[in-house]
Amino acid sequence: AAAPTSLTLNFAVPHATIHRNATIFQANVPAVSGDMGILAAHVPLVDQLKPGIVEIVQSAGAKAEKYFVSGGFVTVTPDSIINISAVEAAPLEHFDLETAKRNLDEAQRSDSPVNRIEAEIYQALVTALTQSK
Amino acid sequence: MPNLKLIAMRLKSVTNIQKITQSMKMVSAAKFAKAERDLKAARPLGIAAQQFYKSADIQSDKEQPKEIFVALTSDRGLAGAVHSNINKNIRAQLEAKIAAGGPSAIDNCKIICVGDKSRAFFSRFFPKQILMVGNEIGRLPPTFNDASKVANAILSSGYDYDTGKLLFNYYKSVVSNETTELPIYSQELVLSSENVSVYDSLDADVVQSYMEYSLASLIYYCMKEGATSEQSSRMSAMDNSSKNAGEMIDKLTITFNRTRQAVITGELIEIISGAAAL
Repeated sequence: AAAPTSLTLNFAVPHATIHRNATIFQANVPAVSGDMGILAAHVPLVDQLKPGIVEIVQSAGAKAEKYFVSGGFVTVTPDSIINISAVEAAPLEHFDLETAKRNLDEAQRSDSPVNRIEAEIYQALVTALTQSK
Repeated sequence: MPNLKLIAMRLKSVTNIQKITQSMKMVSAAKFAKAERDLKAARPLGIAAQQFYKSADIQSDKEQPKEIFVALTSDRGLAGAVHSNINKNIRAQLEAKIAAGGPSAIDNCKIICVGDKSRAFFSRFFPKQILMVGNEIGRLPPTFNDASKVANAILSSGYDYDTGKLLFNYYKSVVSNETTELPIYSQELVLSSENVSVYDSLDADVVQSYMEYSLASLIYYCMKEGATSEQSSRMSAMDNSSKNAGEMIDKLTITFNRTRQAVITGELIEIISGAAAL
């Protein structure tokens, strides 16, 4: 367990591990209750993630690594270990804005539950991509 | 003297069996390589999913809690001891309960059989405890989707358990795997545990969603471990079969040649004694 002065990150999806036992400075996660920034010695919590951007800042002042996650959970344990677990996640640079917009239009055309979930994800993706330009 | 034709038939069939087990070994080796790669990626997910429950250290204080056992096996056999290890483990636990509290002690215990191998075993020994059965497992590598389906089935089964155990084979190396159990808890138990109140802003909604998600993650992790253990076990089992078949072929070939020579010698003796009689 890490001392409360540093934050240890485990960031995994079912088919791959993105970060394992990585010491980082700050993580910004899109929680359902609101976007939150987590630093060392944060209060323990469990929260669900909505589709959006997870930013990892390795050290103070460093550039943030951005990943788009489809949803999942974040837990912070009392000994300052943060676990981000998503069903799917990929670096934001791997996504194409035009394809995302096209898929968003297609998803919005019908109102079945699957399409509504798709639309929510694509909407978050398009917002994230346009904001990062 | 055993019939030459019989030995020849036996030789042919053992050679065929050796070819089959050899090719099964090759196929298992290829599937095992893929399973091991997937497992490496999945292990951190499994460890992270367990961490919350470990640090929460949840205890059940009920006299006879309602328990479920989830036996994660598959449909396909010829895999060595993997399936029977899980089945025997569950049976031993149930029998210990019966020994301690009489036959009614296991009325509160139900079994969820994932895979035909566990279903066949438990429908013989504990048919009343089977809650549900899953099949079509083992043909393809497990995905998170499959794990979600199992988690969904458990949560919507209508049986509100207090605690549960996921039984699977933890993969240690190509030649060894260990039957392990992971605990799962019900929502009320988690909410009422004291360590959990340390967590900020934890309400019933979040806990429910988290438990559904972590159950699926844990099952996914156990399925990946189980798949890797199964493929490696099948690989060594088929390898041993091929070696045994090879030994049998050697022995049978020697017997065949000896018999063949004895037949020839017998014919020669007949010919010679027939010529000598002239």
